[in-house]
Amino acid sequence: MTEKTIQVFINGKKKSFSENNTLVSLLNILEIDGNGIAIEVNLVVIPKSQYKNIIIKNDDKIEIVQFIGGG
Amino acid sequence: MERISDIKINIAKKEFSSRLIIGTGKFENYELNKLALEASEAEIVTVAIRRVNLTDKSLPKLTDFISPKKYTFLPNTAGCFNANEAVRTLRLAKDLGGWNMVKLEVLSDEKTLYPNMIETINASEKLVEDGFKVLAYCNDDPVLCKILEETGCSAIMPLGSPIGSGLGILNPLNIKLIIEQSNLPVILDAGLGTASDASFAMELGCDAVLANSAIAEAKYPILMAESFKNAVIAGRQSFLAKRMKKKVYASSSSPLQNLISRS
Repeated sequence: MTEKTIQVFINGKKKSFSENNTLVSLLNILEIDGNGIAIEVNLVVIPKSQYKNIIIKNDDKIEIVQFIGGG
Repeated sequence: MERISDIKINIAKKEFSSRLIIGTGKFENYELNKLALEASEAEIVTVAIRRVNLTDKSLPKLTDFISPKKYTFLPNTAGCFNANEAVRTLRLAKDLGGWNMVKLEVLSDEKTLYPNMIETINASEKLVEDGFKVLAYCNDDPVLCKILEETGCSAIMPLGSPIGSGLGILNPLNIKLIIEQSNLPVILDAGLGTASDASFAMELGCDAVLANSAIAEAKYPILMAESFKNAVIAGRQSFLAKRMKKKVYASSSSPLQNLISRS
């Protein structure tokens, strides 16, 4: 069985992943520390406790944000 | 002898000793930002929310220098031009830090960065409904400030002049009117250029001031941060001391009786 790939938009950039990745595995692939970030999937903020349960789907629009300096 | 002592400032049911809030933008680097913050003795810092850089992960992180455990982070919505964007940004901020005290800032255009008050009022209503404690950047218009107050926000943050302009307080009369009518803390938010502007804001009766560019863009930001700390304290003391009345003609400080003979 060949593994399907899906395309998602992360921070506005199109990226390809294999199917059945959770947000936890997505962060691992992207080498992003899960601390100090927040994630929104299709305009819904996902609580950290749910990262392991949310499986990314084709065409998902994902925003990964952090605090930076600002006035 | 009567001694007037100050009280702590209470914002959204939290007490703070410092009446100076510092921004964390525009500093040459986070280390300088941290040192300026220490010199200012501010307890609250504003921060922005932005996308994580997916390609360059070696970039320094704000939180590695300024800890949310030590300082109260006040997430802002700078760069948002409508209520929906602002609400969306602050929902992410709430998840990021777990705090509900936020600085709402909905802008109208990039040239003036003046607040879009209609969108600000709409966003404030939604955020208050969501349980946020909203500190709202706003115009120096007393009528709109009153409407904003009625949305249930926690503090009014009128501008002194455009963000980052360093022009100081252009309409002190309006700021005074806003202070007079407000049942909430009034925090002078934008446009301060130097320490005397901060003193002036406090003398007018503002409860606190927020400074970013004035410190970050000074040649020596750490020294300017300390200067702002002193200016806010001096301005506040001056306000509490209730200044003398202005007079048209001179009034000698030394008695004019019993002078030695001039002849």
